[in-house]
Amino acid sequence: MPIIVRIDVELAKRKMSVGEFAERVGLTPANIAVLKNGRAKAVRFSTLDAMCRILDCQPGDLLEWVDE
Amino acid sequence: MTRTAPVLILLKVFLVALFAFLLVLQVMSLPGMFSYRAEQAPELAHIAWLMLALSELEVLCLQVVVVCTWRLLSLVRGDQIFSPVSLAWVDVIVWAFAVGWAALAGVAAYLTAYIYFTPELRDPGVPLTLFGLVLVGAVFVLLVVILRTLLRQATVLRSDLDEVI
Repeated sequence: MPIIVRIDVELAKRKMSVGEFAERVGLTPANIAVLKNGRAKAVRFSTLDAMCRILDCQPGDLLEWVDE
Repeated sequence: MTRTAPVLILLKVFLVALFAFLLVLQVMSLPGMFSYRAEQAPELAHIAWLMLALSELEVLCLQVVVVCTWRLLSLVRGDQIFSPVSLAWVDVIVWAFAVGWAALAGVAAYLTAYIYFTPELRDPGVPLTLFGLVLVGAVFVLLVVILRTLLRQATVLRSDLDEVI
């Protein structure tokens, strides 16, 4: 996908583990993995809302478009 | 799902009863009835044997439909109905109905022609009834085909939604 979800960067900035992030956002670690390795096809706004809230960032900090 | 559970159980009870009824019809009632008719009117014996063959085939088709419906109901209860598996069972149902309808239409056409060409039998009652049955059957079969495409669309929607995180 030309849309990359940069969770790992934001997690590293906040020194938060993937497991803790998954639990606080309310996603399964499997779905977090799907987001991170670019296999996600769609994300709910409510999921995006939860991720931005936990990481205290904007959707633009999480989503990046690259030309393939 | 919780509210459909009692209906599912009731439906399965009736399906078992229907299957048992069809079995009795198939092995006892129908052969006896038509062989008696053949004895009563030997000149129309071939019609009686044709009707026996047709009714046995129709009962067999209904039995296939009952079994497939049972499988589909199990899928509904397991919340698996919107998966490619259920389409296979629906296909069998469609084919069973199609075969049953084709046999009915064929026999109806033959009987109508036979009644028309036999002056002492000529009467519009039976052909009209048969024609009505064939029409109702055609509408029903095509409706099931439409329901099948709706199920396929719903299956695609479900698999799309399952990928949303």
